Amino acid sequence: MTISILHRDDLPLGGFAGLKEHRLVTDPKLFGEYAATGAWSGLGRFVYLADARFNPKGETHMHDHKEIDVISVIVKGRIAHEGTLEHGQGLAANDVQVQRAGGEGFSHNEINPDDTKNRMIQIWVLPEKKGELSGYKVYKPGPGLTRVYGGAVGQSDTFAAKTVVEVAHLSVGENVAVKVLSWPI
Amino acid sequence: MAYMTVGRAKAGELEVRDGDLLRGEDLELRALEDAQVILIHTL
Repeated sequence: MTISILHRDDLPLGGFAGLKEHRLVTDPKLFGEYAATGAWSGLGRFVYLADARFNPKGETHMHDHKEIDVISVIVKGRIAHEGTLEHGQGLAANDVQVQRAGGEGFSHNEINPDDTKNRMIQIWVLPEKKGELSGYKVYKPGPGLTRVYGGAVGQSDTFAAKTVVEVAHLSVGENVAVKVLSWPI
Repeated sequence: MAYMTVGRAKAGELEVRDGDLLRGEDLELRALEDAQVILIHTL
């Protein structure tokens, strides 16, 4: 088993609006020459991973996404979600929000409603087919492994895709394994 | 790929922790304390 490791705290701290973040994956497929210094490429159609902490009451401000699937994992604190998909949705620690922009796109604002910093991981995956309808799903992963993105066409538990995102909650001594069967898609 | 977001784990002989992004063709993680990991792979 050959493993490479990228340490978040070895990367520069950036950010915008009301948050600070480390960008660990900025794939050239999406970012081209603007890929972040030291960041890795992704896998399959996974092109972006940022580990963000919102300032108290910090927000991204309203912004648009198109032709991208946006997966947000709330690690600590809360996020108040505003926008064209599920306006008013509240997210708490351990919740996962998945938004498909599709061809119609969406606008949203992510807000830390609290007086303390929170933490959110955001992942972007390029869609396999352009022009899809926008869509929205929320997951509350429990113990063990929960798939939150990707899977076969025809099921409705997750947005179908060959790139898969899963969240594992492990207790001491528990194992989880991931086997990469193919790389480029 | 796997991103540790909470806790510590063992990946082979390596100890990994919150904030570590791992890339490998066959990753297996064993939690050394309660942990949250995001796994990203392809079908």
